[in-house]
Amino acid sequence: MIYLDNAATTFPKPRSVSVAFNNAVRLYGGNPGRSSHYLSRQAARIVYETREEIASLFDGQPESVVFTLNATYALNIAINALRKKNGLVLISNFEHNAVLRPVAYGGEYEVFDASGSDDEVITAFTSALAFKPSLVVCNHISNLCGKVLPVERIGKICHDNRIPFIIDASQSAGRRCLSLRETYADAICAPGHKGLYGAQGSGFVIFADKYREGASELFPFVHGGNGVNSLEQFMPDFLPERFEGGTLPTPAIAALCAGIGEVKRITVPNIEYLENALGRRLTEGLSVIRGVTVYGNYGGGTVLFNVDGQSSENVARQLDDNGICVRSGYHCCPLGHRTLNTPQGGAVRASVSVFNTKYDIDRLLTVLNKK
Amino acid sequence: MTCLITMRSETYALRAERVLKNRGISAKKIKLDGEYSLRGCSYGIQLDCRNRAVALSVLNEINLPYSDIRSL
Repeated sequence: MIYLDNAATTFPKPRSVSVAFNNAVRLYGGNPGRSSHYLSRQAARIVYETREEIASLFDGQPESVVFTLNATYALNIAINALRKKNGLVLISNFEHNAVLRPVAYGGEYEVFDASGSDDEVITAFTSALAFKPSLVVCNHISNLCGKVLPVERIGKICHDNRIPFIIDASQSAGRRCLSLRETYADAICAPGHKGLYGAQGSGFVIFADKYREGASELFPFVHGGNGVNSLEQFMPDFLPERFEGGTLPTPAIAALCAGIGEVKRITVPNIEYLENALGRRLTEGLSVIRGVTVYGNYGGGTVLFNVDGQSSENVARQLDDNGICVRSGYHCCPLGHRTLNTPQGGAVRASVSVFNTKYDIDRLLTVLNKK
Repeated sequence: MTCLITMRSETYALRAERVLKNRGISAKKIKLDGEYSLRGCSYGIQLDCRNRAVALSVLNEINLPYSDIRSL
């Protein structure tokens, strides 16, 4: 089996991840933050250690890390917390539905063009500030084509204009260096199960330091018990517990902790280098196959393409028949597909992880060459 | 004598415990008895009162909020 659907979720996971998940289930299955017995304390400790790991990766504070089930929940929390009532939200034309839907549901939004060079993106973004957004949300790397947005420059402009800025790091966490401070971001949202190699069921928001004391103004998305100030009717007015209602998924969080450990072991720059090399090999190989169209050749380890005369679903099915896992369709990203001008039915996406090899890429190219 | 510093939550208590240990100050996170937790379930850290001043200075240095300090 050759797995090239790592933009959806990475697979296989490092062995340390499954060991950590298994240990959490078997050895410290208490409810973190609830009881004072040994098993609860052990669970709380691994949850806290994971907050530390995330904080060190994104240049923030452990108590500003809010755990969620995935990036979508994280983005819903951050968007609802930071958007102003009746305020317009500015997003890019590569946003996933995890951004588009909560933004569209909550009120007005506008879209800026992020398909050009960094300078062109900044020009488009600056022009779009005429809409007077009260919040900016954009991804760091597109889930369709590997396009990297200049989030440091966007964040600086937001900072200078006092506009809150949220980064969707779903595709970049673990794959690109990303800092709360260097991007001036108010919040970074990410899944645990993609580039950080954790288990599904983990995700997080890490808020900027300033919200540690100003969290009372942030609207909580979920209300419920969390073992803190339990005699009070409302959620605590501080991070992270303001946003953490209900039992946390300790096994998935423990797995995420181990996954981040693997990222740190390999190092983010090495992961970026290796995935880019595989992506380049794939793009170059596809480009010379007659009848194959590659969309948005932006580099990176995620490549979008179609084969003339065949639906994306049909191509994905034939690859699956040959033991190759890719994803077809619209990838929950209608804005991005419109931007890249893909046909009805979408396109085929192949996305690598650092655990893929040149052989995996060449095998996919061989199968497509035979068509 | 043992001192008790009340923290906002278990997360803050764990960070305080970790940071103090890194500075060579022994501290232990505990769940507070009801008499010290009027808002409901709360957490704090226990430490030797002789280390209280240094501990508070470390917590202030990293802007880690605490609420109540008692001698037990």
